[in-house]
Amino acid sequence: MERTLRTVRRTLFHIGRVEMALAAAILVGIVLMIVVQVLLNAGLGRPITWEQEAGAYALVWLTFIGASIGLKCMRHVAIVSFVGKTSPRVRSAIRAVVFGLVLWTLYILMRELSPIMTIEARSTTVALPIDLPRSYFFSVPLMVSCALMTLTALLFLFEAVLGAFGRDDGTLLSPISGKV
Amino acid sequence: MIWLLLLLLAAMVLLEMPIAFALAASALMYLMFTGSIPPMLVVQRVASGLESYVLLAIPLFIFAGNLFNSAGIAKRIFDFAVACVGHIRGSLGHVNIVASVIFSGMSGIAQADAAGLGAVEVREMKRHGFSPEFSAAITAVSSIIGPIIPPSGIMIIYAVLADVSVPDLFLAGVVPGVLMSFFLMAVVYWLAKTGRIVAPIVPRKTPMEIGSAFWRALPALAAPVFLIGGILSGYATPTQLGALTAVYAIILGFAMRELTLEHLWNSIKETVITCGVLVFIIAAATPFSAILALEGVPQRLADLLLSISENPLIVLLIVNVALLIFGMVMDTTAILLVAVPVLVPVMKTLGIDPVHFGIVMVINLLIGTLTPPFGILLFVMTEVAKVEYKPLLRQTVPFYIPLFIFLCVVTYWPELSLTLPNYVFGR
Repeated sequence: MERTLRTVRRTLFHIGRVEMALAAAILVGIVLMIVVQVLLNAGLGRPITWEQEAGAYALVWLTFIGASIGLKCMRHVAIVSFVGKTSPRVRSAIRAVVFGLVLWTLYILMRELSPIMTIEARSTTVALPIDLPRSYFFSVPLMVSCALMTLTALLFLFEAVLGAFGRDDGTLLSPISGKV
Repeated sequence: MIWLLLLLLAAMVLLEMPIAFALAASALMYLMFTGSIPPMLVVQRVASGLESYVLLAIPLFIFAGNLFNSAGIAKRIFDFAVACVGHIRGSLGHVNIVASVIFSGMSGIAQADAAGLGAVEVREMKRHGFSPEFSAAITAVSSIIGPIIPPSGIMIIYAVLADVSVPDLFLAGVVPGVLMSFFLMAVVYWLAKTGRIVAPIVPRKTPMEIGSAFWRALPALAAPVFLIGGILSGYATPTQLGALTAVYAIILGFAMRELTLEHLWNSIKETVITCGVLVFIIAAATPFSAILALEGVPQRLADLLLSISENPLIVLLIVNVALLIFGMVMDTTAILLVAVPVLVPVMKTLGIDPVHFGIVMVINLLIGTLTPPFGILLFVMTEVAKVEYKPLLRQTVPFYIPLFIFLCVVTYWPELSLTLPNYVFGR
């Protein structure tokens, strides 16, 4: 069991590294694009016409990839209430309920997104140099993010259930890092 | 049936479910249970709700703030503030506030200010003989100046939701932000004078030393000037200024040999995660906000407020008290997403300027981040300063009254916020 969990954690860690590389590329790309836009506009009076549209799309991708990484790092904002004061087993049981709810939310989102992707694919981008389906920048990144978060939430749910049955050796329900 | 939605949200928040998921889950459950609207209609808006060039300024300013933190700028700003106000009674308490005011011109997230510049401030204050608890308390309190003085992540979200100009809002925050620092400095002075805190005074610096500290901090001091100048001239949009500030921070960091590639990579990683967490709340709250709108909640609440009184002063008082209570138990972004569409139309009906109301709301919600039981800045500072929650809270209490007085001043004196943007933009 421990070996399986370690393997899953290691796999998710590597997925997280790919996500981070992608998100970093998007962030750096946004900064470069805007700086070039400002320079071209000020220097040559020839702004990039698609900068604003591309920037808005990049934000969508950046947010949803960041959200997935945030879940792996357990950085999503939650209000600290009474859960920390309960016994480790009760705490794990509550965490199991929470991750169960997270999984249900992600499932509903993915279920509803399938037809939305088809509808959004019928319209294309406006100002970008090449016409691309709008779904690439709305429903697709959300779907990708939901799928990636589902993998993470499944691991956390499983670990929370183990903890609720008193099988926590102190390594369960921790942020996913290279140290496994 | 709207109570069901709120009940579900409250239950999930109490179970410590991440706010973003709690907002989305409660909204989806409500839709499933009532069958009032097909879920597809609101799910479609989760991603498309982020299609905003203005919102893009949030990750860019977060990035700039992280870079300034990594580039060793915080220490230079702190040293300059020591040279300027370290000799006044209250010494490093004032320095902490002044440094936050300067740093606020580069970063727009209070938590980032508390964790970044805050670490330097707490370390230096402890080294000079201040108690760790007071050092943490004043750092938490002064970090809320950050999002009042531009740039400000919370103001950008408000501007998008209330459909007001970001430059207007940014400029409207300048005077209240500076005034707030005076309020806080007055409290520090009083605490030191009455012996309630141990505040060893730093010897007065010579003009030469002040000049030297100024010279070392000059590149950092130029950043807010550059930002405000950009806004005033209309030369670049706030989003473009965010990107330019980030590039400036990178150039500065490398030029001063304080920024390494590792620092740069860590800043990028931190920005990605903060953006993912913060902006994801905006996306995930879309179904929740859509339900509130479709169920006519804004209109009903507006009617309720106006039935109590049509006097703007009384309505503002009620709204302030309600926001303070919500601010104690909820996340700032989540409150904005739910409350702005409800409250801004009411304020417009009563003739209250939405820019002025934005400043009131931002200050109110920031005070909420300092108040128990769920004040996030207090939790951040327990980690940064390694202090216990209760002693930290005890040291924070003396600042609440001046903050509430300051909130009243900003609420009932609109000119304080509006004069600068009106003057600059010729209204």
